[in-house]
Amino acid sequence: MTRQSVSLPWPHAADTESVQRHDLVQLGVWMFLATVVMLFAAFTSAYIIRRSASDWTPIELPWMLWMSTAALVASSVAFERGRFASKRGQAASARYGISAAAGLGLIFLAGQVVAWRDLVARGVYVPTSPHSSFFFILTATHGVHVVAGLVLLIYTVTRIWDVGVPLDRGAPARLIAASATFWHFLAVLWLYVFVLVSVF
Amino acid sequence: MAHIPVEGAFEAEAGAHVADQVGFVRRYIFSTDHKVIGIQYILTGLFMAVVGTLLAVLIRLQLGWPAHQWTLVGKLLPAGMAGGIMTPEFYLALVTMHGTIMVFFFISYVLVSGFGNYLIPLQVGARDMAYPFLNMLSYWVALLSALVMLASFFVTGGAAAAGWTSYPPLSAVPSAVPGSGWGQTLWILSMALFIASFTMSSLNFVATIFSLRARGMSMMRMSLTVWSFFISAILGLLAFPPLTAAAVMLLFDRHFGTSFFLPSGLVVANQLLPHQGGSPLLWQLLFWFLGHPEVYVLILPALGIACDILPAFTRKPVFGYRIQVYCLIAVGVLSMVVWGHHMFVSGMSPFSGEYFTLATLLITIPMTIFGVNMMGSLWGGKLRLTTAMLFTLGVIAFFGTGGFGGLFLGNATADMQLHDTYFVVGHFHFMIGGVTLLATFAALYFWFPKMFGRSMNESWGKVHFWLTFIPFFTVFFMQHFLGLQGMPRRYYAFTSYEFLQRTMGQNVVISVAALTLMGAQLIFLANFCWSLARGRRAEANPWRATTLEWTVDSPPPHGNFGHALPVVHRWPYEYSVEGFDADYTPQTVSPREVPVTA
Repeated sequence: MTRQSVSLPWPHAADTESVQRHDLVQLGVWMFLATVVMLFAAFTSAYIIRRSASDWTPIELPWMLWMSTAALVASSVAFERGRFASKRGQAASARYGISAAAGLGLIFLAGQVVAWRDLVARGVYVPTSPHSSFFFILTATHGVHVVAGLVLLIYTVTRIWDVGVPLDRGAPARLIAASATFWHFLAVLWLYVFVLVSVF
Repeated sequence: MAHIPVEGAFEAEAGAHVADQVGFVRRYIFSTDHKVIGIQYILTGLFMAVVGTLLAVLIRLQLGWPAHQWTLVGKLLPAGMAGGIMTPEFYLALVTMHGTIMVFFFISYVLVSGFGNYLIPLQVGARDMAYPFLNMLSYWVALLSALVMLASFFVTGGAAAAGWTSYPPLSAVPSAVPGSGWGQTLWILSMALFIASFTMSSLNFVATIFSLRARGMSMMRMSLTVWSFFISAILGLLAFPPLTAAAVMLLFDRHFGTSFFLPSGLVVANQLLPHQGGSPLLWQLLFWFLGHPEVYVLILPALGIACDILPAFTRKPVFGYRIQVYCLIAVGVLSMVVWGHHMFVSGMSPFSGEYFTLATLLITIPMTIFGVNMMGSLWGGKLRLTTAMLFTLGVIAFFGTGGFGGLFLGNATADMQLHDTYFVVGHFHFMIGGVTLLATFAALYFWFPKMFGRSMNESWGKVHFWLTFIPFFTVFFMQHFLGLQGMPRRYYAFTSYEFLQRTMGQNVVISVAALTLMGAQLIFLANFCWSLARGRRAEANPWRATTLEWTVDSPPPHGNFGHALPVVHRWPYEYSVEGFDADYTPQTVSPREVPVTA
């Protein structure tokens, strides 16, 4: 528990008030992720229960999923390279790394849409089988979170774009750390969803 | 000094003199001040309570006098009570919406979101919540959610009618009953908005308590109110998302032809439905995974608040503070693993039933310790029977009585007989109805001076208490016995059954008591409005209490604490320290002046 000394914006308050015990952005992200974990835990238990019914017929998953998986993993790697660069004070490569992560995130979403269109072209719709119902709902729910993650990433990129802003400390460093937590979580979550729908 | 981005949000409205400059709209409507948001929640919740109460009036009219023609009511409600006779579909919508509104839109808004928002920063010594903008957003999403729920009364087919638990297939087949149509869809959307709003609130509660405590305010110096909000917010964060998942699947079953909850061979209105392979029990599992922790989300703050009001009127510390904290934590953990006790009659394996029985009875241990400690807090105290204290004593009475009924329902063997009878209705009205309602009133009378700078009228408050407590106890104590006689809940025309005809007299008594109870709330509303305008001016610490909110003006200024944040030196229950004149010592008093006793 590090005690951070932050100046609070109450004009009538003393200049510094040593109250805040944690990085609030990071703390908020972790709590939000806990709710996302519970959401997917519920979907998983529903999946396992529903799977035991006799009408479960697996659908053939589109090969495009492997491409989007690769894009999302590459995005995580790019983000991590950017974050390391920011810690070493190499601002330019940090900006490029995080921007590349956002770009690859967009490619991931495009890949998911292509995968959906592929299924639809083969006549596999949401109600076709319980497996396809779960596939569409799980990918859509994950996709919504990726869109939220992209908004956070783009916000981060705009906040660190100004040349001359040091990225290795203070608010920019904390923002980068928080969006890294969120973004890597989404990659891991996707790997989990992918394994769930393709193996089970 | 660097700012992290979230602080930018409250930079915009910083400081008392800045708050004076911003207009009425930014100050009282789109405000990020936790106190304004708390009061907004409380007023919204009280409005919803009036709606929920009116629904209960209609329910009791039907059950007390099933054959009577209510011509005047029929004119007001031509759709549900044409000619003054209630339709069965309307009755189902009434019980559904009464439950939904009271649980989610009254108690959650007033007691948890309202008082949580108001009290947490004040009691932990923070200037505002951790994420003020998110807090404001949470209120406006909550209001939208309430409006969507109210709108469902006015769509084709009327409001949802599948019970507050929304069991499929009634909730999953739009053509099942009139309320299964648009009413049910709006119910699901409203609940999704409610969960989003409650999640934002809970994030704020946890982060504020965890991170923004004043110097010296260690976790074990927090009031039990704050502790109970902390546990309840964590439960909310973990238990509500599964209902979101279930709601998404229910929407897909209703509108996109999937079969998550709908089995094969289902015939509705002489038509075979195309669904197959789904399981209605899956909904029950997911719903109760939320539903059971939800009752603790509501009742823990009620108990925490009761523990904080007691010492102010006994002039002695709350009994067993540390044990109370551990009990709250234990109940929080156990509440996540007992949801199956709502499903004993669903055909679950007897081994699962055995487990859920044991786990449920395990919860009674920390809950009993908690209740006995509350009684211990009274022992040897100098009791002052103010209105807030009377309501708090009522909380203890209801908690004991209602909790005793829970022993029977938590046990699979007994529950097989009692499931879906009025025994259950009586039990949960005592617990998440009565304990939370009385705690809400206790909190309103206790913190009203802090919120508005004026006191509520005590004499009318006491009249309100007795006219609430006695009828409430009568109604729901008697309903236990209706349940023992086999009267099932949600039955509109119970008199069609011969064995239930002899309960008619009891139902009339219950209806008369219930209408008295509802009428008595007018006294409260009048007292509330009158005191807002004309109540006696309140000083900073009218109850001579010790927690931090009483060290600042009533109402507290924007930013709560003036020039410097308080520094805390002691626990929140420093009453009647031996050898000192003042019988209370605020948390900010240094140990040099008065020794620290715990």
